[in-house]
Amino acid sequence: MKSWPRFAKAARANPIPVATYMTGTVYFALGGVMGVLGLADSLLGEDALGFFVGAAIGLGLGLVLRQLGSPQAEPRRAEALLTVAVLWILVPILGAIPFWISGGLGYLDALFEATSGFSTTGATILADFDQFSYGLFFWRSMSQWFGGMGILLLFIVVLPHLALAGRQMFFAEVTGVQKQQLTPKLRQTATNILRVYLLLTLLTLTAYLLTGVPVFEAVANTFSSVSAGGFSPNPQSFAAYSPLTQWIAAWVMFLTGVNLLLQYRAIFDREYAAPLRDPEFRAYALIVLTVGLLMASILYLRHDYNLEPAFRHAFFQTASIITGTGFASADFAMWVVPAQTLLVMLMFIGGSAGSVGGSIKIIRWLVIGALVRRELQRALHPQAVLPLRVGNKNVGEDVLRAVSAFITLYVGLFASGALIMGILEEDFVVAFTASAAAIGNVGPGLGSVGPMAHYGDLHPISKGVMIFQMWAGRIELIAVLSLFTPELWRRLRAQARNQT
Amino acid sequence: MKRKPKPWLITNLRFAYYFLGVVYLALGAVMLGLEVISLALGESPWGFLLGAGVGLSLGWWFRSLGDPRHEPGRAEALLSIALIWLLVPLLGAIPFWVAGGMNYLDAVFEAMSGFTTTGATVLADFEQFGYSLFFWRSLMQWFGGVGILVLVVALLAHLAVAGRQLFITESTGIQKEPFTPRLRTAALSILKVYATLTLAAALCYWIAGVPAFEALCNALTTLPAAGFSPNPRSFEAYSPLAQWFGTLFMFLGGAGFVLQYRLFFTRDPRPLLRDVELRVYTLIVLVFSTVLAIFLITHHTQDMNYSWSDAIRHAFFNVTSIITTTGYASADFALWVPAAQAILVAAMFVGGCAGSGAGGIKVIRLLVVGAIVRRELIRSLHPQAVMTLRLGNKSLGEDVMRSVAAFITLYVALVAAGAVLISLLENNFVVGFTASAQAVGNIGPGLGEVGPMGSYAGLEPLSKLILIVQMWAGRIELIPVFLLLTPELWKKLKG
Repeated sequence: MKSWPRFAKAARANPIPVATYMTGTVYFALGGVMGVLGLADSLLGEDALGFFVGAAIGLGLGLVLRQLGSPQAEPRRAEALLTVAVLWILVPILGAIPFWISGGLGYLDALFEATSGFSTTGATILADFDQFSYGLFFWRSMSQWFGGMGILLLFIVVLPHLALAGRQMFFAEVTGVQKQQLTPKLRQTATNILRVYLLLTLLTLTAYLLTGVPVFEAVANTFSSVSAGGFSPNPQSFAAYSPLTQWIAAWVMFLTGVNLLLQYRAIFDREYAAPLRDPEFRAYALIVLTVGLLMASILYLRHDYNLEPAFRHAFFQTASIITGTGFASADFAMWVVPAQTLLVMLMFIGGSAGSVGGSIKIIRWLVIGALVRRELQRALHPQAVLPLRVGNKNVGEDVLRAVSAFITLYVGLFASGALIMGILEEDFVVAFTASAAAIGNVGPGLGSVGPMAHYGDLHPISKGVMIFQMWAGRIELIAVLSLFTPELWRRLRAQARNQT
Repeated sequence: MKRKPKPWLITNLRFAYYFLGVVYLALGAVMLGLEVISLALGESPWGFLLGAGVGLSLGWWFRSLGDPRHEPGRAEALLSIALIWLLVPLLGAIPFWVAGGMNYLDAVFEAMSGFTTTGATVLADFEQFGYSLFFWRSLMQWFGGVGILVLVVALLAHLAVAGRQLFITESTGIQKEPFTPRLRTAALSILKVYATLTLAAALCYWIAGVPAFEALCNALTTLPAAGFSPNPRSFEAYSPLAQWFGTLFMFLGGAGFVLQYRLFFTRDPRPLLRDVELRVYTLIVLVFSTVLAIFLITHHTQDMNYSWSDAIRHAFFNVTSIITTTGYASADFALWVPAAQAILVAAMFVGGCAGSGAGGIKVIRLLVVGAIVRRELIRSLHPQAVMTLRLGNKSLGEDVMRSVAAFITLYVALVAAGAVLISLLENNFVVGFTASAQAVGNIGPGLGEVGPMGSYAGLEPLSKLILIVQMWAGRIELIPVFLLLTPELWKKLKG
């Protein structure tokens, strides 16, 4: 695209060309999508004003920002961090417009819904599902699908490249992050991931359609299943569908928590044993299996479920919470405390590092477990030099430090959120689970924010806290928190000075 | 004299046996003394008699098995700590069991809560206990405080466990040296402060109108940050002045004793003022109390009739009580609004200073973790930068950071595991979470049914057992207990 002369000068002085350009591109694309949805909605005779306003802003701002920025091959670290952090909040700010104008929500609520969408959380403030048109429901689910795609690229390509939160280690052999540039190999990796993502989307859609889910709901649920999102256009979530659909959804959710690169190797390279050799996958499968069986027995013994429903709900809910999807096949806020406790515990585990799953992620738990084991040995042999291994990979000291700092930040941010909401909501269970569900991008909590309820009645500040948690939690905290270090801004200013 | 080697005995533990024997003998002697008191008061004499008998005979036997000249290695030293902290409450529980009308599990819970300076009680009916039993209960907390100060502050630092190597250089100026006279002097000076403050506390309480017996018992449990009170209403029963004195002495009990030694005995306040940990500790207490006071003023002036001065007093008292992991209550905070309770729950995870009898994570570890996190954030911008971490004017070694990170992970994991299990058993989320958090932090009261005016008597036996293990592990800073689960330890002991 040719640069307009007036912008060309501003673009040269812009200290953050990549952030601007990226935001512009994404805005432009989302503007286009909203335009199409607006047309569809107006054909159906619904209120499409929100989409058109959103489309106009998206396309217009997108164009301007693209002109102001420039696509550089390699942004500096400070700018890369800024880009990641800012993009993940600017997108919901745009995406909220249709909910705000056509959905009858206040802007804060609309922003909550949109952040929950693009961060694939699935926490909703929607009390009355009649408020939304087809277009809005479609947009809601689609935002999760886009969010899922974005997060995969972020997790497997960008963050390892930036060596954030320990990610430099997790995919070292597949992505070749030791090299300094975005190599063709990385591009290949990105394509591979998206191929798996699309394949999973198609398969899920077919399966839902075949098991009798109405077409519109099947499409929307597919979008929010494969992205571990959790928005459903049906107020009953998956409780409204047949047992077979629920079983299929449980499997789909299980797959969304598995490293997509492993899935690629199993599906396209026919290395069927690859997942079985992976320590993260093994731990993940083991946890799902153990917790699922435990929960099934609790449900069978303490509630009047038969054997099959007990197993179905147990595994559905286990997969749903551990991956941070948040669908419900039953109102688990009504279950006995032991079952709920297991679910809360799962909120802190999360899926694999190379998946759309949220929360802390299995591999980090493996790393921290190895650290603790080594420290125990060191208590006996203080002088010993003990290498740290997860599977057959060595964990470097930098990874170790990054992972422990990440987990500390995660727990700290969760606890502060719980404390603030505890004060505002005057309800411990709501505060505790809402905070865990937001930062882990899970969706539903317990009590009055359970799976069949909504977050609409929370205090506005609580909603603000949750928006922050969903945003920060989704992109693994570091990028967002670096915005609060003076260091980042000092570097950006220095960069600006160098350019002029 | 040559003894036959006993195959079941781990001979490397000779020092531990000897030490355990001495402790058992001493406790047996104390119980013998209490036996005299209970006879004089006409209370049931059998508990202390049996306890003294078991203590003295087992103590003598252990002592004869052991050998004081054996120099313990790391594995033995760590195992000894774990062993002693487990076996001493088993002995101390006997009087509660025989004379206090409890079953043995409850008695062990009470004794473990005593020696670990926790202060969680299973005593639902305070009539059950005579004076002598209440005195024993308070005395065991005081002993527990002595034990923790000497054994854990000095020995763990010496062994460089759980990041403790940092604290000792910080507070005593002792570098890595063998267990030498200097360390002994440090331990002695700590105890001097500890005993002096205990006396002062007893005197102050008594002046403020607390009955003499209760003043003494409460003083014995204030300084080790323990929390048993012979009065079922804890400090709620006393005058405002006594409550303010309680706040003061709890605060002092949670501050490092070494620094106070410098102040009181060498009249040098500078190390006290320069100490980063103490400053942050003071700041945290002030901030939490102020916020809590605001909530009490805005929420409870009507329904609980708090005046401003009541609100401020209760805020300072209970925040200090929870942060220092003492666990007294000047009001039934389980009845306060959730917002106020949330602040107290947050305070449960702070803990006092490292050189005190307080439990919890401890302020200095939180400072270390804060430093690590800040550095990682900066490192995300400069991945190649080499940065040394500083705390005050000390630079932190990588080994300290790693062990602090591992410690906090274990701590949180133990709280979480306990919370899940107890919630499963009790069908109650709030009880599960707060009971677990208070047990690992050696605090005492939780919220809900196990609040400050409630008791742990109604819990399932298995929950009590979990809490006993948590109190035990939390008190000796987790590492020795978790080591018991590693095969390396047992391999090393055999070899």
